[in-house]
Amino acid sequence: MENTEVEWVDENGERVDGRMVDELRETKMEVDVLEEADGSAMVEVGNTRVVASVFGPQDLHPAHLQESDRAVIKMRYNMAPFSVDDRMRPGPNRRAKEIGLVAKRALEPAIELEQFPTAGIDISMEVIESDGGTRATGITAASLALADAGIPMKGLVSSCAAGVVGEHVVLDVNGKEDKEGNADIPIATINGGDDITLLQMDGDLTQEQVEECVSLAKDGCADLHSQQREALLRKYRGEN
Amino acid sequence: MTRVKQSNEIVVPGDTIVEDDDFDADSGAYTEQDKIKSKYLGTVMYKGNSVSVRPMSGRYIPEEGDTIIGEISRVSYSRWSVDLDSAYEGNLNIADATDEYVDLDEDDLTDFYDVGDAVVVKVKNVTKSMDVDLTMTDKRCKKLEGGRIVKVPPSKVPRVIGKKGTMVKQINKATNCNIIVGQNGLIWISGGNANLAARAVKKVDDEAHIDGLTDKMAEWLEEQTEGDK
Repeated sequence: MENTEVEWVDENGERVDGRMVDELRETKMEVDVLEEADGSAMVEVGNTRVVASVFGPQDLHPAHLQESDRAVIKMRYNMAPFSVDDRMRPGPNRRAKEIGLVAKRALEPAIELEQFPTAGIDISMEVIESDGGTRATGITAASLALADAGIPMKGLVSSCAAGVVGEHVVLDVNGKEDKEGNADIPIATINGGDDITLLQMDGDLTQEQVEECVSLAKDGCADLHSQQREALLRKYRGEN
Repeated sequence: MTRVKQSNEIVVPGDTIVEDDDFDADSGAYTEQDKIKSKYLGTVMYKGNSVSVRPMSGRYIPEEGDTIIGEISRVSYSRWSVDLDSAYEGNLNIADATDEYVDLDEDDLTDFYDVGDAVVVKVKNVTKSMDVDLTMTDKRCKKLEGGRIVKVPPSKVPRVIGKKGTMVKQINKATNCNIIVGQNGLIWISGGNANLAARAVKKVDDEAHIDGLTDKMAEWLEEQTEGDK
């Protein structure tokens, strides 16, 4: 079928886009990209580009959503119509709703919500360009935006995926590997450590492959975490 | 003593500040497995036996006793709602607003304060569910007429005020402006060279983490006022 034609990893150990199996795509991070938002960040991972914004903590409406002992996060994931190769019908859909929910659950454990009872925090992840790994990139960006907004957190959340293409386990699958490969596992960790706040999988993988993917993706998250730190420190120095 | 981060060093959320030590984690820091870590993007402060992190940004959270600047956002039957540029709205009850006798059915509350008026208010009480009661009984509290309001992050208000008010006094002297600094980061400037005062406040905001800022600002203000003459 699909795997017979594509050589996922060639004899030099290079993948379809010239990366090694344990190599992340080229990543750029920038904090404080929007004027009006309390916090914002843009993260580019290869051709995937996501802008995240944070408003709040602020008044939460409708009032029945309020919690008397903690803040409530409203998460929005949206893909721009021009973010994929064919025009995408704008507006919410089932997939966007799911990703918004899992991204919220990935970030919640890191945020000190109990400091802001009855308030709401609005987080938005806007996918400008999509080439695989948008939910992971979105979570990484949202975490930076939260730090920029001055919201208390136990640590930064970093996220990336590892997957299986052909018989190879690879880090940070790109759009082609994502579509035509066997399966991928996006994970998110706090502080680039061992606490995993997101783990999803669809497709067929053996137990060994799953374990290999998770450990590879953890290393990827640790790498992203140090880049997130740098991006935040750069913002501080940039204002000198 | 294993201080991983020194005083005034910049940290991001999750950074370890102190390792296995008998320091206490104060505001902006938390303890996890013998380590003290930061909750914010900000700067480290050691004070006696405790460590805290001063955040670089973030919304104002009302605290009892703070004097702040707010804008009337709604007039109700017997109280005003005040926008505090915070996550929470303030309530100003009529008993806390004036000593005059007010007949609720006859008198018009907008004669005192109307929607859009800027007021200096004091936080009287904050409940656990973050209902904020305000009062005007303090002598510093009043309605602000004219002037302008500029904004800085609430965490930088101490720098704008300076040690014992030196910074704000200095700006006041150089520009001849009336300046009122609210704990919520709103600053009212009126009269005199208001443009210069606003720029000075902006400069303090941008350079809040620099040591000896008061002296630096003194030089800067002198330079600016010389240019005017």
